[in-house]
Amino acid sequence: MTIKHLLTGALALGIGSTAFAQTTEITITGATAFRQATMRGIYEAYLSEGALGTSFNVAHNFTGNNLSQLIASNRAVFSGKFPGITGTTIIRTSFNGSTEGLNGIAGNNNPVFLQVSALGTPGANILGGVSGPTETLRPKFSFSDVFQSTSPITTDLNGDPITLQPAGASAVGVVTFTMVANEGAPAAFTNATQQQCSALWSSGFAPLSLFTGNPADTTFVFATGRNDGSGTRSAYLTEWQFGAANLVNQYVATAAGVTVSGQITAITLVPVGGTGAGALATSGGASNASTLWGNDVLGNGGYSSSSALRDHMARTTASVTVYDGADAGSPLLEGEAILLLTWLSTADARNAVSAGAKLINYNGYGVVPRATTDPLDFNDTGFSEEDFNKIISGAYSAWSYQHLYHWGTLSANETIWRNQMTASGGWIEDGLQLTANGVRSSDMLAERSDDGFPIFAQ
Amino acid sequence: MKLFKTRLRALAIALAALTGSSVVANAAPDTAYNTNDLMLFFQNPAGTVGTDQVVGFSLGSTWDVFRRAATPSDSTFGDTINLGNINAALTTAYGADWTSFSSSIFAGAAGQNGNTSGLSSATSNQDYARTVYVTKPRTGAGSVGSSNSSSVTIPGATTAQGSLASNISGSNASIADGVGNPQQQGIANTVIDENNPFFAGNPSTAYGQISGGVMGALNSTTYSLGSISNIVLALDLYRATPVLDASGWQNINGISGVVAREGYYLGTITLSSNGEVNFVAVPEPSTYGLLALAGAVVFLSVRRRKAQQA
Repeated sequence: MTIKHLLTGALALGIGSTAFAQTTEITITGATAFRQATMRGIYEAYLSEGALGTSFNVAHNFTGNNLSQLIASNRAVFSGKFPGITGTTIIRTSFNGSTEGLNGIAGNNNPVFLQVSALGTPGANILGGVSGPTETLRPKFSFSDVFQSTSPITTDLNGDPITLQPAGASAVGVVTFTMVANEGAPAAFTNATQQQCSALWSSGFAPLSLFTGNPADTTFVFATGRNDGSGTRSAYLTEWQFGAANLVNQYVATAAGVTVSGQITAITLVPVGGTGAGALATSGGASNASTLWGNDVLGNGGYSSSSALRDHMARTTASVTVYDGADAGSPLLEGEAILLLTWLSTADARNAVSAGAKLINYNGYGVVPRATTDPLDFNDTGFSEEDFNKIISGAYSAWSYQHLYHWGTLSANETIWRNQMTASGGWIEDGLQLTANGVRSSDMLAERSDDGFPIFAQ
Repeated sequence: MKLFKTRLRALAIALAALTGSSVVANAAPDTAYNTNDLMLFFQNPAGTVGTDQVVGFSLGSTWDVFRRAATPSDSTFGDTINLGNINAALTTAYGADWTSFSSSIFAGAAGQNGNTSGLSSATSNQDYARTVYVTKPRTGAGSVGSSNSSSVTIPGATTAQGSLASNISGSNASIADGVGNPQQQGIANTVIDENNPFFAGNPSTAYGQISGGVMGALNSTTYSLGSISNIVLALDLYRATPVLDASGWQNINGISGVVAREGYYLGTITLSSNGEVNFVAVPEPSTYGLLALAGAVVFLSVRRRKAQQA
């Protein structure tokens, strides 16, 4: 062996070591409504390179070690070989709502992420229920149910104008939504129109007769939904022509109102600050406040997470105390049967319905999100063929484009990751197909130019 | 003739004294917005300056300032109340020549008192739940004590009433930061514009319920109303309550003419060209008497002069 050979070998070893040690970090925040497709896509991408526990590992903060629980989690950390990227790719997710996500990548509010050390000792299973260690940081990517223009995010952490990228080419799929009533909704409650929803969210409640046309249906239906960090909220307020920035009157369950399993026994108009004292303490606490548009006022807050809302819709409301959000001593109603109505992503709706919630048609059209194992599932779309056609044709309008935004410029590996995820036939489309979270852009036969805008046939 | 002049001078002194004491009461301007305050707000949607700005001026409690001034048994009844000067705020937002933007700058005022929920049947401070206080632009000087604007009607459905009241509450809160008064805000930070939209250059339905809106445009000329002069904008203030219950203001004070859901005229908010904001309440009957007396004296004077000339 000559010196040259030794040097070449050493150089090769060095290069090899460098390549082996290369680590790419991807940080993602944003839409909770789209997280199931996102998480499933990421999981499938890692899985394509090798087995869990061998090629990659994952931990998340939701209770449970199954894939269904992983894709429903708010925070997760993956580490391993990602297709197309040399070395180790660490992906960390922290979903906190589309608008709040855009705020996060603009550098105005750093979300909480699990640290890589949360993976602990790598194993062959998904590791659920991991709450720490955590850190806050400015993420690079954010999924959003709505365009940046529908959000109030116009400046970065320095107060300088910011245009999130890739402007004009951010759409990566279509996220679908559906109206949902809580468990116990009567059979006659089948449909809600744009006008009815607009009226309900304006007043906060209305008699069931508004929806059924039967004057005998005097049970009050209360509006419930998300806070203003949510793109889902922007999607429904634009779809109803209500205006994303306008004030709503929404109710949430109180902390004391969800102590009985399967029931909600008290709700309140969302107090200023998202929560109140005593009986007005809400189950979501201060995170229920709406702060992004500068309108933290009575009734304008809502759930910060779609998972909490989804779970509450799977509860009955046969005997409920209703508070006005300001006066804990004078309930508006006591011990009365009520109903709740909201708007969820179809992926979250599928979970809610499986636990007792009821799907409500929108403007006369309804879709039923299905597992891909459902015999009625059409080509792994998550919908029956009939429902799938309603969506792609535009007859069903409860959908918006899903966007993947980032700030600044992307490194070579970040670009590879984005392309892997968003390409036609890429991992996001795989995730969409597997979670009933929406449909692929390439499937659409209709389009709209902005959130809530008219839908035209292509 | 000398005797007549003496009597006329005495009457003038009496009227001046009246003006200086009970007619014009200089109340301390409101220093910050509180829930249930009446908010005066400005927009300049079609202007060249400040189109993206909203100026808000909290005028004080709907019931403790404005309704009291329309309560016959109250010490402030019939007063003209000075509410402060907002010239600096309007200058900052719309320029020093803001008074020249007639038909461009619009202003209105709204407030609410009582529970905003459509489920509530509570009465607080003599206002039934969902009681609102809103303005309509005065179409001309008219006369003190009389409205000179289109009427106000609030909806019959309790859910719609609740929506109206809560929209007013939320809209006012969106412009107030709880510290300064008046406030200037970027329009995107408030929901004043969403709740007070324009259509074809004119105010459209306000708060989703008030047809024709609550705003009026600055006048191109000035006029006087009572003791207030150089008025560039006058807004008639109405109280509209959904239910006339026994513990309501009208019943407790024996005020006739109040109709459920119909606006009841309380007085007029004026903006003068120097930025002064005043509230001219409906004057008490004795003031009417003095004004009538003054009119009679002038009439007699003219008649006597004509008689002497003849």
